[in-house]
Amino acid sequence: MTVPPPARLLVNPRGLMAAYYAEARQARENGIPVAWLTGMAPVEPLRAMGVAVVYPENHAAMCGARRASLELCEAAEMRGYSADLCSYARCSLGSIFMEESPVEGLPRPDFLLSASNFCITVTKWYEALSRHFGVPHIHIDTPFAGDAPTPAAITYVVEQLEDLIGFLERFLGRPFDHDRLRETVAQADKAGALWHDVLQTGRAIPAPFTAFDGFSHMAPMVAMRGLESTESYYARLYAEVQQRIALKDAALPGERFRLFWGGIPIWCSLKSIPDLVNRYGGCFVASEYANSWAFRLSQERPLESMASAYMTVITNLSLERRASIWQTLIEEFAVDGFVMHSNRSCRPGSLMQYELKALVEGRTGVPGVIIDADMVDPRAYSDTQVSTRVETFMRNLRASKRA
Amino acid sequence: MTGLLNPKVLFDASLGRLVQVAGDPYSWLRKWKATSERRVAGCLPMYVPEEIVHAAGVLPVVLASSVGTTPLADSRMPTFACSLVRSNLELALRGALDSLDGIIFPYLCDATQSLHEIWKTACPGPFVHHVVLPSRLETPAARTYLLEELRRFRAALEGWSSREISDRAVWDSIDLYNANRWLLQRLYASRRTSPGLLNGREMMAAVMAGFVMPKEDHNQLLGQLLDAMEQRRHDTAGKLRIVVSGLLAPNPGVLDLIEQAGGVIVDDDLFNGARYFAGHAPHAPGPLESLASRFLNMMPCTTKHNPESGWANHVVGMARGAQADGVIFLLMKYCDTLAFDYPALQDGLDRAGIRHLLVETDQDVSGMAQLHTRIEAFLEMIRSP
Repeated sequence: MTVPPPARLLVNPRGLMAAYYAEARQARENGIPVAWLTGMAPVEPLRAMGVAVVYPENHAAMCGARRASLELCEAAEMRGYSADLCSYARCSLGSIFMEESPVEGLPRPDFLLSASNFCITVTKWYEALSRHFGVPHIHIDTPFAGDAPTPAAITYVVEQLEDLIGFLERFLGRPFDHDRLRETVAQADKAGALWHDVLQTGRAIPAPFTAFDGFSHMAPMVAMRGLESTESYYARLYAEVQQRIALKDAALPGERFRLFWGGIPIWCSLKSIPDLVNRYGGCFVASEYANSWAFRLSQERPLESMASAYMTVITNLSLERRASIWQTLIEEFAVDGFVMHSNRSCRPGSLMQYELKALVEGRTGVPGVIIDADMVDPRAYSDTQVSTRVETFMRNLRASKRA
Repeated sequence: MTGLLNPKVLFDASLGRLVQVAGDPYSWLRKWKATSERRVAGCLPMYVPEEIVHAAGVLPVVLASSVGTTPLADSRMPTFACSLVRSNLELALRGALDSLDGIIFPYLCDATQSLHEIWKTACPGPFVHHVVLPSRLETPAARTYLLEELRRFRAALEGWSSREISDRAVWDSIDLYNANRWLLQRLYASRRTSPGLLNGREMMAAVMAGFVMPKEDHNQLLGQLLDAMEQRRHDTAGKLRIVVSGLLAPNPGVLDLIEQAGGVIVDDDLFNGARYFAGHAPHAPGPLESLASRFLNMMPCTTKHNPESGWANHVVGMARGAQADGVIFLLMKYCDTLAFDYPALQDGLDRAGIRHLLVETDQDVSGMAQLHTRIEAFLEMIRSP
């Protein structure tokens, strides 16, 4: 049975993102400082002060999607960065060393901001960037939250955010704008709520919006949180997906199996697995990854709410909390099976996956399969091996549904 | 007992004991436990404030031993974690850590954090605690947070041991641990001035015996060893002075190779070496403040946020201070923080004109022959002008 590929949505982030990066590249000429940030760093104080922000992780994912990441990773390895290190970091450093990028590259930073909520890798990666560019590096230490962050940990992060504000005042030479921060936080919160609503549309049967739609539409949420254009973008996207629900318009016509994607996408081979499962009538309807950015903030308590939201990113949570997040999504989205990306580059995301798989399977009765790959290093991805494993999994799903 | 007054006999006896304990720590621990009422808590490297554990009447044991292959661990965790993490999981799943009543994880990196989570389901026990240490050291906020985290740790230990841990008890433990650090520092100082009195393997054993033995007994052995060593001389003419850097040497085999190739080890910054006993817990308003001060003033470490390349500069300084002819850098495979900081060290050593060699280590010793050749070639290169 051949099934047509998922229909494309009319709203897409490409124009918005291109304009955003073009503006960032112009920033210096316009006297606006540029900061490089980790994917889940507290951007809101920077937005409130009008700093232009760009995301090396986002850039690395784009390099992977354009199949340029291998060469860039190798360039970093030539400079002494081990091939076992995170491929986003290698890709980013390689792009700097080679002064090459398939997407015009990032404008040179004036300062760097990292947060350890994803991993300790970003701490060390940004130290390397700081050494290379000779620019200040502000690091926000977000202690591992386990089941829930301790009050002392929240206070610690709030104090670091206050230090960040102090740094911005000194660096920019003007007082911090607390009103603008509240507005930015409110905007980021609305975008987070809308993004959550968009992702929740995948609960409809058949799903009008997939996990992989989520991966291509999350870029503004990652890179442009706190801007008004982001909020309006997700409002338009949500409206379009709502229309499709009304029309019973499926992302995958003939959807038979509803699947869950676990982990960072394999950017360097993004479509191979969804295309493969599509042939079996399988559709990825949800992921925990895209949901990571669907967090809420409070303009009444901007710093406290930021501290709490940024500390409870899934990679900063215990195995038990992760299992419960997975269980909720799997149940809400009526999922039949899950695919877990064991990502060589991502230790906090991958090292506990065997236990996570066992817990989730045990609690939901939904089976899963683990595939070995890497987000942007194509050397760690074997198409044959992954295809065989996923096909076996799909055949088993099909057999059990018939039984 | 009079025989022990002979320095040679004393030296051999105390060193022999240290080497024996370090050589098979968990068998030694099993025997010790059969004669003791005390509970035992395993402490993952690095930086668990052992003094608080000791003050609870519990024996803290540092879990720094590696095993060859890790088939049991590999079924619970992907293989892209360092040998230390996988070895500990393997040892626990094999039952080799059965003497432990509890286990304590310090926050160190993504892999140890993940190991803590896996441990809770794979090896559940009555006391599995994560001390979530800060990764920044340079701010007042980090100190405040750390103190709260140490108080939380103390309270958890009180709950588990069903006894109050008084300030007095922690101070007593601090005194004991400071004495231990001072003895080991003296041992290392003697190596810098007259290297080779103990070879690399013996020196590592002297440190690692203290990872399992009660510090009271360890201090006594170290004291005897130091007394006996004062009489000794060792000829190191023609030997190249080598500094070993890294986080942990998974096995002492690499140290043997350096010596076989004509090197003598003069200093290191390994956790199963100088890093473990660096600094001391100072006078402070309270014992936890004292422990926090020691932690925040630690020997620069790649696992912490290091503005200004603090770690690389430290290693360069150590090599200079030890008048090293070369630095051998042990990169534990899959240790992200070491691997990220390595290029900065490379630059620093190049600028200082100090030769260096990168050795990637895993628990697996199968590549020893090749490593032997590389280390020989490195020392040969230093010798040739």
